[in-house]
Amino acid sequence: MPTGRAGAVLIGALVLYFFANQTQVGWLYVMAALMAGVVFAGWWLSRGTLRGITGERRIGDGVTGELYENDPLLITFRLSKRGRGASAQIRLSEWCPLAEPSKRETPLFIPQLPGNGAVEFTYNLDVYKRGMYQFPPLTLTTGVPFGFFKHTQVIDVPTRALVYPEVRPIPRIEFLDRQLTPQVTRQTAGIGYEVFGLRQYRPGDSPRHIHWRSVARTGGQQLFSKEFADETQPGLVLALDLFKHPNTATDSKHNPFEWAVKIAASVGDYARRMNYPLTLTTNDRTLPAPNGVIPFTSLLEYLARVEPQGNEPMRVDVIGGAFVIAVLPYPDDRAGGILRDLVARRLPVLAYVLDPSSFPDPLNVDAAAFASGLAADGVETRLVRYGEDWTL
Amino acid sequence: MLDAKAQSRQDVKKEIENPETKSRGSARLIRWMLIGMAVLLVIVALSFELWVMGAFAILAYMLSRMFAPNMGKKSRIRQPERSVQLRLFAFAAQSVGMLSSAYVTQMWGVFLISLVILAIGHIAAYRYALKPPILMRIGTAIALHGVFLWMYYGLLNGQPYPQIQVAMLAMAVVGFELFSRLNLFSGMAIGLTNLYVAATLSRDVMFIVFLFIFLGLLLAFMWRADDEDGMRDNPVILRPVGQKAVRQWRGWMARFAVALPVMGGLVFMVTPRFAGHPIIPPVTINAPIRGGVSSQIVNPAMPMVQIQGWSDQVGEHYYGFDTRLDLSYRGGLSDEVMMYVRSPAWSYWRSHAFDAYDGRTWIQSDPSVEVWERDGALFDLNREGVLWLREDYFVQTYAIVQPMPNLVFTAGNPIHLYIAADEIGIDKTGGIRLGEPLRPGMVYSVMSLRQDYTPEELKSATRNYPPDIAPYFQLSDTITERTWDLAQELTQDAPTVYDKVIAVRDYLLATYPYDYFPPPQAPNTDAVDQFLFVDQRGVCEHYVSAFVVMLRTLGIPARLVSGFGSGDYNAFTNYYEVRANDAHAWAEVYFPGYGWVPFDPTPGWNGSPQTGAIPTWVFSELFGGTQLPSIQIDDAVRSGLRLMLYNLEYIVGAVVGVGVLWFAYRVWRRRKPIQLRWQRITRHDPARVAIFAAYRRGQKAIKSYREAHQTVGEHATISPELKEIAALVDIAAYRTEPPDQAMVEKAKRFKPRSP
Repeated sequence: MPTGRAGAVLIGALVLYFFANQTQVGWLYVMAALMAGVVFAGWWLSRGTLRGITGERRIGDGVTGELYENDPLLITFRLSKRGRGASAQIRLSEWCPLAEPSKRETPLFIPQLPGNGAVEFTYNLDVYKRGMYQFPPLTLTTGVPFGFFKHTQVIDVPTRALVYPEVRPIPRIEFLDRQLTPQVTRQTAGIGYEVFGLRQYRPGDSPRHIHWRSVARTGGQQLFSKEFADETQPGLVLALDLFKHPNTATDSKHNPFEWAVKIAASVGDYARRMNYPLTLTTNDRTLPAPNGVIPFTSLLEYLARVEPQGNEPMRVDVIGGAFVIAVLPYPDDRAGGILRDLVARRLPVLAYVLDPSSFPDPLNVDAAAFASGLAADGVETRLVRYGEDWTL
Repeated sequence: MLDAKAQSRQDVKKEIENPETKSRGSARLIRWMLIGMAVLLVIVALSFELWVMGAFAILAYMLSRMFAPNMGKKSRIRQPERSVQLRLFAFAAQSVGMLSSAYVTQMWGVFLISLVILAIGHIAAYRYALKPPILMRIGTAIALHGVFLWMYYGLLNGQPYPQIQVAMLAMAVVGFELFSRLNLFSGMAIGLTNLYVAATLSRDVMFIVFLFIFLGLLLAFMWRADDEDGMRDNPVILRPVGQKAVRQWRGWMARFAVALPVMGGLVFMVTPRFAGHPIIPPVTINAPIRGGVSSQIVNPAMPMVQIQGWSDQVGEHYYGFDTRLDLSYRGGLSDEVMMYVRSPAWSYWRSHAFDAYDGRTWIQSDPSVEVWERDGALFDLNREGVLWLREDYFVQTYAIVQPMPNLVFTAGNPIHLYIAADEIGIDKTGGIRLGEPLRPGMVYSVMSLRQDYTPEELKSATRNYPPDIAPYFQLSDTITERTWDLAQELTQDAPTVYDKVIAVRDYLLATYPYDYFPPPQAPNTDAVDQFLFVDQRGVCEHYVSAFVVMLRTLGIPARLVSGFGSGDYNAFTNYYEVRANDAHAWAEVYFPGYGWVPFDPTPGWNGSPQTGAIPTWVFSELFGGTQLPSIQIDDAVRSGLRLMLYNLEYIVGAVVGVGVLWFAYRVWRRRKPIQLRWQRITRHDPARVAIFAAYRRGQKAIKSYREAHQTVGEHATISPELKEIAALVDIAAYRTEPPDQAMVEKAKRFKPRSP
C-alpha cells in the first residue's frame, strides 16, 4: 500500500518532469527519473519483507499446568524470520487476554529482524480473571525501506489458556461439619464393598465383578455382575445461581457473580478435602453442569467457563440425604423460595448471599434483608460483602 | 493608579507577553505576508491569464509552506523535532544543495556565508524548538526580505547569478525556522530547489554526484525518522536474539544503491520528452544591457596585433566575428568552451553575414544597423509577419561562458529574442548586435522557426528575386575567368537552381581537402582563385568564399555567414558545448519564397545545415515517429506573465505594503475591543467614572497604589481599607450593566478606614 510519502515524491518527480519538458534541461529529466526510481525501487525492495515470519508463544514454564486467577505468570513470545531476507522497522502489538483489561495491549517495535533470526519478548503478569482465553492473531506492519510502501501481515500464533477461578482454602465450613454422618450403607446400588445383588453384565463392567457362580449356573450362556450397596457419604449439592441478573456480566472480576464463582470453587475445594462427593446443579441450559458426582477438576473446568446467562430461576436437584450449599450472586426471591422448600423437606441448606450494593457499580438491592428473611425461614445464611474474606 | 484603561492595557500586555501569543504573532506575520503575495498573484491571474497565474499562486503557497511552515493543525510531524541525527541529515542535504549551486557558479564566498548561517540557524532552531523567541522569528522574516532585496541589488549592479545567491541565502536564513519534522522536510525541499537551479547551469557530470549524495541523505533521513518514530511510539523495543546487532540499514542502502539506478534508468528511458513547445516562454531576469548599439562589432578576443601570414598561436579570437573577414588570416582556435547552447534541435549558431567580396576580404556593403526597441519582455523579430505554426518553432538558450563579441547568435529563422537589453541592432544580413560584448554568465533565449526545406520544395523555387537581394549578386573584379568557367562546367547539367547549388557544393566537398594551415595568400591574387586552382586546400572560409563566388557567377544570390557550428552535444546536460574551434563559416543561398537557406561546402561539416529534427522520445523511432501532443498556450497568457515579471518590483512592493497594512490592522483590531471598553467606561458612563475616581482617591488617601501586576482584589487584600471600594470597582469594570445610583453614592461617600 503506497503511503503519502510515496505520493509526495512522485508528485515531486512529476513537477520536475514538467519543468524538464519546459526548459529541456537534461539534468531535470535525470532528477525526475531518479525520484520516480526511488519510489519504484522502494516498492521492489519492500516486497516480501514480512514473508517467512512465524511466531511462538510459551505460557509459564511451558509445562502444561493449571492456571488460577491472580497467579503470577511469565509469557514468552518469540518471532522468527525464516530465509535470508531481513526485515526491519516492524510494528506489532502483543495482546494478552490474560492481563488486566487496561494492560492487555503492549505495542512492540522491532528495528531489525535479520534473516534466520529471531526476537523474543518476555513479560510478567498476574492472571486477571478466570475463563477460557485465546490469543488473537498478530498484525505486523512495516514500511521498510524508507516508508514508501506499507506492508501488513497477519500471523496466527494459536495460544489457548484455561484459567480456573480463584480458590481460597476455607478452614472450616461449620455447616458441613455439623452435618457429618458416618458412612452408611444404603439399599441402593452404588459404590461400596457389600454385595447388594446381581444384574446382567453390561459392557464396561470390571471382569473382577463378574459373579462366576451365576455364570456357571447358566452354563456360560449369560454373564452376571455383582452389584454393590452404596456406601458413600451423603453428597454435597452445590447450587450456583446462573440466572442473568442485572449487572452480572462484566469484564471486571469485581462483581457479585465472579465472587459467587470463587465461593463455589472454594466450597468445592473444601468438599474435596473433606471427601464429600460433590454434585453441581445450575440453571444454565447453554452450559449445563456435569451430571452426578464430579471431581474437583471437573468443577474447576466448569466454573472457569460458566457465565451468568441462564434464563430460568435457580434449580436444585437433590437426591435424598444430601446437603445443599447455594451461592446466590443476587438476592433473588425465587431462589429464596426454592431454598425454603428444601428446608421444608428437612434438607440442610446453607446459602451464601452476595451483597451487590457493596460492589463497585453497586445495585440498589437489600441483600441483608433477603439474607435475614432466609435465615428466619431456617436457611442458614452467610451474607458476603465486597472485600470480605468469605473463608472466615 | 488604576483605571479601566490601565487594566485593559495590562490585559493586553499579558496577552502579548504570553509566549504562546508571541510565537503565534510572528508566525501570523510571515503567513499573512506570503499569503498576501499569493492573493495578489491570484488577482493578477484573474485579470489576465487565469490558469498560468493560478499555477504561480499555488507555487507561491507551496513556497509559503516551505518558508513559513508552522501552519496548520498540531500533529506529530509539526511537533518540535528533538532528534539531532535527523537535523544533521537535513543540514547535510541542504548543504549539498548549496554546494551544487556553488560548484556550477563558483560562488564559494556566498556558499560559505550561507553554510555558516544555515548551521547557526539549525543550532538555534534546535535549541529554541519548544519556545522560539519572537525576536528570532521577526529577525528571520526581516532577513528573508533582506535576501530578496539583495537580489534586486545584485540585478541592478551586475552581480553574478543574483538569483542563485538568493536561493542559497534564503535557504540559510530559513534554517532558523526549522523547528519541526515538517520544517526539516521543507528545508530539504528548498535544498532540492537549489539542486534544480544547479541542474539548469550544470555543464558536466559532476552534478550526478551531488544528486546521488542528496538522495542518499534524504533516504537516510527517512529511514532514521521511521526508526525514531517506531521507538517513540512503542514502549517495548525488541532486538535480535543470539547475535550481535546487525547494521541492517547498510544492507538496505546497498540493495537500494543497486535498485535505484536500474529503476531510475528504466524510468529515464521510457519517459517521453515534449521537446520544443514550452508552456512558459524563455525568461531571463538579468540586469539589462544598456549600451547603445552601433555597427561596430566588438570582439573581446581580438588580439592586439592582427596577424597576417603564419601563426602557431591558438586563441579565442575568430576573425569572422568582425565587420570584415580577411581571408589571409591564419591561426588556430582553442578548445575553450565559449558558450553552452540548449536546443531541442541541432543547428549552427549564426551571428551575421557578409555580402561584398573584394578578392581578399569579405565585408558588409551596408554596415548600418537598424535599432530595435524591446517590445515588452522580448524583441519581436517577426517583422515580415510570417505566419507560423506552433509546431514549427523551437527555443534555444545560450549561456555565455567566455567573453564574446556583441553579436547575438541564433539558429533557424529567429522570431523572438529574449535578452536583457534595452535595444538591439539588426544589420542588413539579419545579424543582431548588442550595445556591449557578451559577458560570461549572460543567458539569453531565442525562439526560431525551423528551417526544414526539402529538396523538392527548393527545386520548385523561382528566380524572381526581390530588389533587396541585389547586393548578393556582387562580384569582385578579381574573379578570374577560370573561376567563371569552373562554375559553368560544374552546373551545365543542373536544371534548377537547387541542383546547381548542390553540384557546386558537392564538387567542393569532394575535391579539396581541409587544411588548418594553408599557405599564405600571395599578394595581388584572388583568394578564391588561389584556393580553387593554386593551393587547392584551405579552411572553411575558403570553401565558402569559392562556393558563394561561383554561385554568384551563375546568377544565384548567396552570402558568407559566420558563426559557430553546433558543437558537441552532451546527453547528460542536454547542452551543446560550443568551443572556440567550433567557429565556422558557411553559406546561405536565397530561394524566393523560402528565404535564405544554409549550405556548407566544407568537408567534415554538415552539407545542408538546416534545423535538425526535434527529438521527441528515445523510442520515437520504434513507434515510427509518434507525434506527441504539444501543449498550446495563448499569447494573452504569455503577455500577462511577461507583464508580471517585468513589473515584479512593483508587485513585490505592493505585497509588502499590503502585508504591513494588514499587520497594522490586526494589531489595531486586537486593541479595538479593549479601547471600546475603555471608551465606554471612561467617556460614556459617568457612573463607572465616578467609582473609579473614588478608588483613585482612596488609594491616594492611604498612599497605597495598586501595582500593574495586581488585580483590584489582590491589592485590597494587602490594603484592606480599600476592600469596600474594590468590590464596587469590580462591578463597575466588568458588569455589563452600569452601576446603579446607590453604588455611585456609596463610592462618593467612601473613605478608607481600617477594618
